[in-house]
Amino acid sequence: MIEGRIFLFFVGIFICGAILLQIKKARSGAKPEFRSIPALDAIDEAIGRAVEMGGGVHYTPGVGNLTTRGAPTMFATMDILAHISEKAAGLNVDFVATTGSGDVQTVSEEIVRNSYAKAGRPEAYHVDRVRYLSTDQWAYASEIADIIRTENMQANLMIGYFAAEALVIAESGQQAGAIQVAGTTNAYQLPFFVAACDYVLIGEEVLAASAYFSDDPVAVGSLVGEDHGKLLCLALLVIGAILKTFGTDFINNLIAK
Amino acid sequence: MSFFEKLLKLDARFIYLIMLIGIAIPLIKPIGLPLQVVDTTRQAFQEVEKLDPGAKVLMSFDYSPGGAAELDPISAAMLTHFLRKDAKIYAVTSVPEGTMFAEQNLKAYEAAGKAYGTDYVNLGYFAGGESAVAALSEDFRSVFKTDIEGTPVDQIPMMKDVHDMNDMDMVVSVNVGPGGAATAQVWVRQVAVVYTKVPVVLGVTAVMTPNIMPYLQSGQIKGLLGGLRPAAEYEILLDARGNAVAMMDAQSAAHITILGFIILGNIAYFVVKPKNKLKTN
Amino acid sequence: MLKNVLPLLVTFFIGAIMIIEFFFVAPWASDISGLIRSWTPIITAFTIIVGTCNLLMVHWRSVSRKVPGWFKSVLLLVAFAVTVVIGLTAGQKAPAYVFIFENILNATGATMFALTAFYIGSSGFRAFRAMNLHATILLLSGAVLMLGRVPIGEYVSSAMPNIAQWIMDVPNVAGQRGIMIAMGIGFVSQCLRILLGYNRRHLGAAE
Repeated sequence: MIEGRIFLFFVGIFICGAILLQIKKARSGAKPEFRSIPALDAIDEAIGRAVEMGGGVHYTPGVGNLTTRGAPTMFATMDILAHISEKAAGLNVDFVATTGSGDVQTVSEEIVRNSYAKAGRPEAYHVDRVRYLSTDQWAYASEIADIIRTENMQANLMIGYFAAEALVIAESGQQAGAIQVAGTTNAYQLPFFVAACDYVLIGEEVLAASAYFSDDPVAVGSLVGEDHGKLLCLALLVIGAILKTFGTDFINNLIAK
Repeated sequence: MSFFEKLLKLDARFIYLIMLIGIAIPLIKPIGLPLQVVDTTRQAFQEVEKLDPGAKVLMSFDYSPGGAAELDPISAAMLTHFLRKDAKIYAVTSVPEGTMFAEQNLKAYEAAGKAYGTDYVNLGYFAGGESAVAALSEDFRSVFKTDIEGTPVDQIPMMKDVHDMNDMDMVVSVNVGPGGAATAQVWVRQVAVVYTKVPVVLGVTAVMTPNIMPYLQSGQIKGLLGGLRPAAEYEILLDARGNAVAMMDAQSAAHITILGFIILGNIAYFVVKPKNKLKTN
Repeated sequence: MLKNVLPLLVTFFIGAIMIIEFFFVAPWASDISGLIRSWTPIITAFTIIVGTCNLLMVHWRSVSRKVPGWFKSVLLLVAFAVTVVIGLTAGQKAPAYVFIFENILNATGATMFALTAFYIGSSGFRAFRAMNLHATILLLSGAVLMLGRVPIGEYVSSAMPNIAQWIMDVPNVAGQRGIMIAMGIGFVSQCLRILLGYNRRHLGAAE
């Protein structure tokens, strides 16, 4: 094994093992309890409000892509897109999804097309439903600001991978009077979302959306498994800090192995 | 409606106007406020100081025009330092528009009489983000067949002894973050962690700094310049005051204006709140 | 079979090779993963084409149906055509291409970025209220940080830059690390599900 990655390998094995074990448990009927996540509950509320106001629903997963930029986040947002587009198609409300990369665009088109077919309205799907804007964050943000304003988007949902353009989109939505639900795994963009949006998903809450919406045993089980991984990291942090305080580098040396 | 109630419902455009005036004045007539150099900037500076003459530096201009206001001064200041250290620059970028920023900044090398292909080279844009960084770290030629002018890399004199990342003496990424393709974390994951003998220095936007700071504290990266202020401090350490120092006055004015509005907003909030409570009761 | 099983097998195979290469000294795995990584720029380039096709279709539709604001779509189509033609025929160093970059792309990008400063002003004014203890702590630490990061803070107190740096180095790093560790584990879980074929939404299949 490569020196410096041995400990990491075993931690990885532990976390993956815990996740697989919990998936197995969830499949055999175990139902863990989740705390409620107001921002995820607010998504349906926002779509409902758009229906009442006679406006549209806009969703964007941000500027990431499925290969490099925030790939795990972007995969998680596909579940969110499926949930939102199914709701919007079912309620017959105008829906637009925007993307900032070619691979996300391709997958998003497929998901939204499926959602309209599932809602029994395949004819309502057209090329304008999912729009590729630009890989450049500012071109992408300015186009979204324009869509929210000119196409009367009463619900602006931004959950995924965002950079500095986050505030431009969120503030444009706020000024247009849209109800806004946002979330990102880029922790340093969260303050901007908190300042400009009605509800915000913080970090890993974005990744939990799939389990929250679907009750899928795989998603639910893996969420519980992740908590075991967190407990391991927490234990290492606390023990490491105590040992280091007393001048012992045991944990540091172990991690470096 | 009282004054404070009106203040709470202030039109955002009024705030924009005041901010515009606040920023414009010091830009037109700089005040020249003194600036303290903080330890993190000094650390990045010292890391470059350690380079031997002729050291090979891979510099990735991972930003587009949007991030240029904050990041271009970092590139300029660091290139001035590399020039003084007589370092060889291998410019690359993971953002299509980054090629032009590399070109613009490398003019400093050209102006100093350095020879293209011997002292500096612009290898241009690489698509593929993280995977491409990993690939070029293993073998430059798997990603770059030619430089930006179309010259095959094997015909470029300074590429002769360069095969993988171990051949570099330093890696710098001036990075706009998720708006680009290879983020700052990508350079940590694919270079700093894997090629531990090659020091990695990152230049990032101010808003990204808190997120990258843990990598500096853990020693995974050797230097971090986060935003315009460190660029200005770097210019001071170089004793070559440039754009970054000039822009610091405007940034001071912007921060003070925002703080002023926040204080006003809070005063209005606390004046209006009891009135609203009384009305509700 | 071809649509459902083959992508899963390819995903698992490539993922397994990458994992082996990361943890073990296995030159064969390095060779294969190096080859696969060298394909990434090509695949990425093709995804840009896919996106661009959609962009052109949406704006062409907008022009042909004369939807409100259709003239903006005309501008986009013309700008796209001009840039592509100049870029492909004259190259990136051509004066016309450099002109487009420096005077249009650079200027519009910088303007959009500059807007964030104004938006921070309006959103800060609206949202930064000392409504309770937590909000007050946030407000005060934000104010110290804003003053400490600019020269004027040194006029208020010479300790300001160091206090700001302490906030960045200690409470901030502590919080950031917590979020990073939790998200890192979430990413492992997400990737594991994709590698094992549990998560197939990206293949167009429902969960």
